[in-house]
Amino acid sequence: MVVVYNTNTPDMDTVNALAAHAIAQADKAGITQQSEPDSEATHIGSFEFEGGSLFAKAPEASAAPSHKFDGPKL
Amino acid sequence: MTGLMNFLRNLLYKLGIGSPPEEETAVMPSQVPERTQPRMGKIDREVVFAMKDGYMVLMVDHQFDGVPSWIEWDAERKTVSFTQMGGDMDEMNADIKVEYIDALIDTKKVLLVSNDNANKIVHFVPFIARK
Repeated sequence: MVVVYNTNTPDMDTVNALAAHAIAQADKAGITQQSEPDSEATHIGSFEFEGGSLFAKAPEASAAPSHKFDGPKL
Repeated sequence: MTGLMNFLRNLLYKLGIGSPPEEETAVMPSQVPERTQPRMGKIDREVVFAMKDGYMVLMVDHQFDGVPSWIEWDAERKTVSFTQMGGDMDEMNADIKVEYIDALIDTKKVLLVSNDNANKIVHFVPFIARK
C-alpha cells in the first residue's frame, strides 16, 4: 500500500506503479532499508514506463463564446 | 643547461657575432575553460512523496541535467532542492500534510524516480529535512 504525503492528490495508479518499479530497482541493486546511499554514485537503475503523468494537467481555459451579446432588446 | 645557452647567446651577441637574445616568451593565458557558476533553477513541478513497503519514494515529472547527489526539503518554504553533481541545483514544490512532517524529518534517504528521455531513472539519494 502506498501512502502519499502531499496535500495535492496525484494520480494514484501512476504513483503505485512508479513506487513499485523504484523498489524493484532497489532490490535488484541489492539495496535494503538498512543501506546507506553514496552521494557520489546514486544511480541504481532505469525502467520503461508507459503510464500517465503524476498530476492531471490543469484544464485549458475555455474559448470565448462565439455568440455576441447584442445588449437588451428595446 | 638553458641558463648556459642563454649566457653564451648573450655573450656572442655582445661580441657582435650572434643573433640577439630571444625575448622571453609571453605567458599565454590558460586555455582551461573558465569555471562557470553552479546553476540554480526553479521548476514549476510538484514532487510526490510516497511511502511504500518502508521506502520513501520521491517522484518528479522532470529530467535533471545532472546526477542528483542529495535532496533537501524545506518545510517552511514548501520546496525540495535537488543538488546535482557539479553543484547545479533545481528547486521544486512540495506541500506536505501536517501529519507527515515528523515522519519526513526522520527520513535520511530516498529513492528518487525522474525522467530519462522516454524511460524512468532511479537514484538512491541522501535526504535532509528542514522544519
